[in-house]
Amino acid sequence: MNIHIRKGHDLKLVGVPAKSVQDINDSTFIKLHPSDFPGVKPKLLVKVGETLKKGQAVYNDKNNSEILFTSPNAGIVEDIYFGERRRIESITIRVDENAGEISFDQYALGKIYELDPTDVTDILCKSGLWPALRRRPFSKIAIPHMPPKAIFISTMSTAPFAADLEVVLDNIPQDNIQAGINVLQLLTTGSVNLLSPKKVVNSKLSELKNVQQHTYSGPHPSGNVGIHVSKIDPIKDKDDSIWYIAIQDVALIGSLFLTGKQNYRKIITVAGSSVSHRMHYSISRGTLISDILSKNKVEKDSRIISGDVLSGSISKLDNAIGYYHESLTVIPDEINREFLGWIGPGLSKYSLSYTFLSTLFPKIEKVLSTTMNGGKRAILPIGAIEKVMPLDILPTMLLKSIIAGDIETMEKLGIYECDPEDFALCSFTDASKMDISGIIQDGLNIAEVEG
Amino acid sequence: MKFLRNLLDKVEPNFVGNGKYAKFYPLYEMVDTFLFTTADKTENGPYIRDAVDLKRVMSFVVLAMLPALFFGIFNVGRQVNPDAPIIDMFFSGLPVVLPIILVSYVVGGFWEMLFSVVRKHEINEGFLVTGILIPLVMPPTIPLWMVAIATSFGVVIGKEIFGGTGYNIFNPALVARAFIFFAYPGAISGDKVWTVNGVSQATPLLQAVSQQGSRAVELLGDKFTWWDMFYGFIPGSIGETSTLAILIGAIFLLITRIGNWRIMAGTLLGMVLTAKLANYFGEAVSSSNSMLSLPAEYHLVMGGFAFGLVFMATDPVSAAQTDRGRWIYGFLIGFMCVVIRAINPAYPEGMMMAILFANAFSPLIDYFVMKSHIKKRLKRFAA
Repeated sequence: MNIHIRKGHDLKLVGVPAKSVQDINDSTFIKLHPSDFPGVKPKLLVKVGETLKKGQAVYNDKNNSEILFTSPNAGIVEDIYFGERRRIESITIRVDENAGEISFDQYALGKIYELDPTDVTDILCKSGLWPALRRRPFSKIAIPHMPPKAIFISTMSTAPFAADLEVVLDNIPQDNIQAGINVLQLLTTGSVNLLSPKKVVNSKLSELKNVQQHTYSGPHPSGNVGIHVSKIDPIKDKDDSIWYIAIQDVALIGSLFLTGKQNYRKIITVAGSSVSHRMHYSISRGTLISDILSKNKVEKDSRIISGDVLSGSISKLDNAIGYYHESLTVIPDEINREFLGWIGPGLSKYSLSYTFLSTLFPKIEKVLSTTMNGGKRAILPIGAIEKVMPLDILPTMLLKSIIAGDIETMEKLGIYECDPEDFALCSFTDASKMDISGIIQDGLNIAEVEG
Repeated sequence: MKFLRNLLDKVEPNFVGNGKYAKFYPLYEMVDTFLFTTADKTENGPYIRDAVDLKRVMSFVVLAMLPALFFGIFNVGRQVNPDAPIIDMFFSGLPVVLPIILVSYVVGGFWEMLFSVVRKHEINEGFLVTGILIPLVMPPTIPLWMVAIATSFGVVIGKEIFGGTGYNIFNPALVARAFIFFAYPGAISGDKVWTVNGVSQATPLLQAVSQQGSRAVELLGDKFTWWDMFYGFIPGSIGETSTLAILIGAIFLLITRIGNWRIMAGTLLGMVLTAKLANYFGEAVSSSNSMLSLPAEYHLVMGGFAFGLVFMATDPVSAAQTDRGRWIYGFLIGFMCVVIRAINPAYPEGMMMAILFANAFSPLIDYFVMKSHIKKRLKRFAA
């Protein structure tokens, strides 16, 4: 099935990454950030000074202690940094590859089917790959031993500067993907679905077995898993759940089962108008942003975003890139206050509204800074956010029910199908500058606790 | 501009934190962001934002009203100075219209600032639109003190008591007009108030109901041809007379996607169908009511219909807020307008009441649209 959407928008920004790939190795330090995982309450399993093998558990989740978060490289725990209220902000590890690694059993591709789902879950939890599986609703780490009705594999984001699927596929063996799919098939009672862009035709994907293949086309957010789920197997209520995972993580799972060794490398992009070497990079999880950007000239007064510019998180040079993030975006953070800007013709402005002359030249890529471009106001429903909302949702009504704290109505209007990332373009284009993604997150938080 | 920026930066400390005038921060903020684009940065994703803001949206609505405003000034001047060249007509109209606009903006602006300072929120640009809408729906002879009272009523009772722009149920400008209509009916109805030259002259709508048992178009006769009314050379409220000028504004609002086309189309459709029905019904029972015979294209160019359709019905806050609801809401306005015009000869101008009526119903319309949406959602899971 092809999922085609019309409502949405592809942002045309300066700073698209080239298709070449550069390896980043030999980091001195790597970092882990428990805050990459919403809802996880980290409990430390190591102390400062302790020697770690590659793949050894560093902390686990108090709510779900079998899920381990492991060190992507061997080394010594250098520092554990606590933030406000003793929240663990980061765990720094000094890399020492001589410290060895933890290995697992090897399985032949054809033998994976015969494994027991409980054992598979166990292996994934121990290896630190389990957190790559997330669930909807709520976009948190999948709960072990609670099989979802379906699993969705996403291949390429439609957000700005996403890693190119062809580049990613060039860097992973097909067997790894197939083995990963075979593992996932054991974890669900339903189907495993693989979603790829319609325009990408690649034998590494088309020859895969044991998986339902779908394609998607149309503007962002056509690549968002929330859109795919709603068209293929929509989420009914709070207890209805699907899992989703990125194709690179599927390949890492496959590699673990085929070789018995852990691999934490993935392809990311470095992009945005404030950085010079925009291309794909092959990194290990936990690599510091300063190492990734070491060859780059980063403009001063720029903002570093781990993830894409729509729904990533603000980061800084001495942090590691986020666990789920596949791009590193750097954009200008300096604001030029224009005189009487609200009435100018706006040839250089970027807007989805039709109130600037630049509307006449929609193909031109632009540099966008972090300015809000206006003050916060009450909802002014002129129909702009509906134009970028492909889900079968009444966005204005849903937002109002969330603001009013009306749980029953928000459930009926489909809050469980929603994720903040699906509403990012709504926040982008709203003339009242409301934090629409944030409101959706609030709605999910309330519904999760009280719904 | 550097000088202005420096001046603003220099006085800013007085308006923030423990500054001397911290209470008046909304005022500083208004001047600051009026002169220069905002300094606010994104704090959560998305980290980039669309260039459009409410200042842009609201000032574009005002721009869309300028053709109607300019024609209105000209039309008033035409009455003052009937034999003058066109340019002079315009300047003869200015002294009549400008004071009304000034009073509306000054009085309304005062309330807006007062509520912003008390409520400690930024001043909302919505008043830019209300402040020009009010003069445009007034007869040119309206006393200025009445404009002041009506504006106060419209802004305070029509909007601020609900929480300000975005929270109001009724269109504040229409509340202002309705206030005058009920409190001082003599100032806004009848045949004395629509011209400034002292000659009493009925509006086309009054003319069309002037004699029962006749056909409306015959009553209009040569006095008001369809084209006269389309161009706007007729007595009426300042901004409502020229359908042509309003049409230009409508095209501007549709191109910029600020005016909702569903509401406009729904209103037009509602009016045309109801007028056709009235024509047919009047014919069938041989009614003596002249308004029942008025064709749809005449409804369009007479009274406040076109102005209401383009600038009042499309107010996003008081209208229905779902796409399907917008069709229904628009249709209801068109329907009610013709019904009021046709069956209430004492008050042939139906548009104001029709929109206020639909405003009151828009939450209900949205509620039912939402109900049917929820039903449709549930069906997806039934299979």
